[in-house]
Amino acid sequence: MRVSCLQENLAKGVAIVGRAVASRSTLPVLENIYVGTDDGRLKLAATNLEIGITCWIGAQVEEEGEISVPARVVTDLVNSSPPERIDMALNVRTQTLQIHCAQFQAQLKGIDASDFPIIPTAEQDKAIHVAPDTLREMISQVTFAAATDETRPILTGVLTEFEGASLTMASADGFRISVRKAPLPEEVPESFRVIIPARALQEVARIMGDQEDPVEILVTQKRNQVLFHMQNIDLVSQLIEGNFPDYRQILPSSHVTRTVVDTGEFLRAIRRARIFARDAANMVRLQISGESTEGPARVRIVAEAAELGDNVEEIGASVEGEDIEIAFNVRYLIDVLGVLNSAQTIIETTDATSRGVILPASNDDFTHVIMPMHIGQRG
Amino acid sequence: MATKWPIIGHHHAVSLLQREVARGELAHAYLFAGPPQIGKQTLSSILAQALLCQGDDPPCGDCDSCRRVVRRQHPDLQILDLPAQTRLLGEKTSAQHVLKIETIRKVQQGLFRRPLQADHKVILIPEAHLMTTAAANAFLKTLEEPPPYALLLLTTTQVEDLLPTIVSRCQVVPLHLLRITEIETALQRPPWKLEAAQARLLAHLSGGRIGWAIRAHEDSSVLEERQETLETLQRVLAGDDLERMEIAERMARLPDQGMETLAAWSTWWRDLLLLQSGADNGLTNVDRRDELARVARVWDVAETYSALSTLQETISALEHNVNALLAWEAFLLSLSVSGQPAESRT
Ligand SMILES: [Zn+2]
Repeated sequence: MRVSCLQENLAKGVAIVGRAVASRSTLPVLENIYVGTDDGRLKLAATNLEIGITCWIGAQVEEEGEISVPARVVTDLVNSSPPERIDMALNVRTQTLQIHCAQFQAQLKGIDASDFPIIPTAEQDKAIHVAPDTLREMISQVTFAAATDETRPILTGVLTEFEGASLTMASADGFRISVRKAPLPEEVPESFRVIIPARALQEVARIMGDQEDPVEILVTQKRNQVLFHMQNIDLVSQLIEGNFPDYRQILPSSHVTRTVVDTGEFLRAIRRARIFARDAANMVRLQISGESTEGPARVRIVAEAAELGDNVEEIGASVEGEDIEIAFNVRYLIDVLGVLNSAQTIIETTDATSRGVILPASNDDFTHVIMPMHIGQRG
Repeated sequence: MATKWPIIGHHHAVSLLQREVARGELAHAYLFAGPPQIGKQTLSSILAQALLCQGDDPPCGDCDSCRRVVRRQHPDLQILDLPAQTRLLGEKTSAQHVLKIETIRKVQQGLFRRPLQADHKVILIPEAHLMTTAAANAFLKTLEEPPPYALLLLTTTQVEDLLPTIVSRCQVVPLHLLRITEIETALQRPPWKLEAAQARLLAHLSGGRIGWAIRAHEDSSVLEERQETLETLQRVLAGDDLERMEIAERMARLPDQGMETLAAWSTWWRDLLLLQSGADNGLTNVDRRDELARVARVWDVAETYSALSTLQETISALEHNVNALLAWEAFLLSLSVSGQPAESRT
């Protein structure tokens, strides 16, 4: 192999695929980055067997070839190179990649490319197209509510359902549920559901950058992998096996109190309450009351810490239904309010021990459910 | 019927597994149990090949998947031994004696990601008895509810050291020592193509362990060491107390070599016992028949029997970490000199 490319492009490519390099694995080759020629371009790839990222960069190919080289070394080397042309040459016999840039020259001992796992790349014909902004927003609205605790592998994934002309993503970690729906530009020929690791979706959002073309999504025939095809980048994720809990059954179907607040005002008040709640099991109490002789409808946000004292703040609201006091984990409220994308927030509650529902007032495509905390349990 | 699997011996196990592969009726977990170096790992690896193969006649041995399994580079095959654990946990090699619960947990997490290249995901644990109790208990969860594509292959030389709950959730495939003639025939075929005499020698010395025979063929030092070991025995038998004490001291210093020496000596004495009882075939040390026959005429059966049982007691004492020097001295000094009982020496 003999290839030349710009340092800037190579550094960018290595940084993108570098996100999928395995840190510790039983297969040494997974700590490497695949470097090979592909139809007049340079192909870079890495996989940790959960996520595989392939990236193509412009290059001048003089001789075809492929190899895999240690990710950490090649990343450091390329990042510390001057912004000039980089020449690479592979010695097939010794499986050594020679990298030459400006004044310096380095030899990287590689592992045969045939030991590198085969990462599928896109065949565009059966892909489902999703607008990049929509996908980015969906990912931000569901992945944070997936479990990070690996003892429940299924909940570390996002249930992704393609049905008719709509796409639904749902996540749950045992304390909260996040569900986001979006219309698809065209109907899928056959409905299906898969569980995609939340980590993989977060990577998709990250490497999507400011891409404007639709992202193409396709699931491999064996239903083992999902592939996201972007401009010059493919991300493949292994799917998670198992049955995702039926979240629809857990979604509250009715409520007693419906409260509407200004999202920004509510979020700022909650953030201030957090300073106190940190020392009190993260608990914040919402005292919701309708218009009465005591004053207009409002939400009192109360956080108490035994050592620090307490913090009480009132914000205006419109309240339908009975007054209620309910407590939530302050972190969960901050998480959801940060991704709501609506000027007004709806809070639907039933009683102090039933799940609360957080909804955007501007549309009905997002639903978030949070388990309340027992008011007696503050520390 | 599938192609012939490249396995020497174990016909019953192989045909059972071939049948299950062909019918798609595989169990989720297999436990291959038997003595060391008889081909347990080879068999489990071929089974992994058969499942991951992309060819028409699995295991074809020729497709990308089959080749990766041989190179231990298949992304859907995880081999869980101590070196793998070292990599997985990022620990020092010297810290590895058992398979830890952290390792099992990591593997379990990966198992819920569907396979990458094949229809199956295979986890191979070559020395399953190295799992700690905590690790084994964690692994039970996977054995009880494996994902549909998972195949768990365990091999062990010490099935009695495994949790009974582990054993009961695996399809146990007991494997035995091979017949000497099976090994002798195999060694004369490719890829080894040994001369008949050499094949016969290695087959007999192996005691039914094909792995040992292949190692002895590939690494000439194995036979040289055995030669030395048996010469040491001759020196012991002919030597005085001083020489025996020197040898005891040397053996006590090198525990591994000491154990191997005792294992080789026990085959020599067993051969002696065979010759003394009039049996002429079944000898292990076929290349030392003349020497054995000479000694057989001088020693009587009772002496040989007593030497052999003292030797076995010494092995078990050393396994239980007694003072090695004392054990070796007691053993060597108890032996007769060239057929004279120890008491009658001057
Ligand atoms: Zn094959």
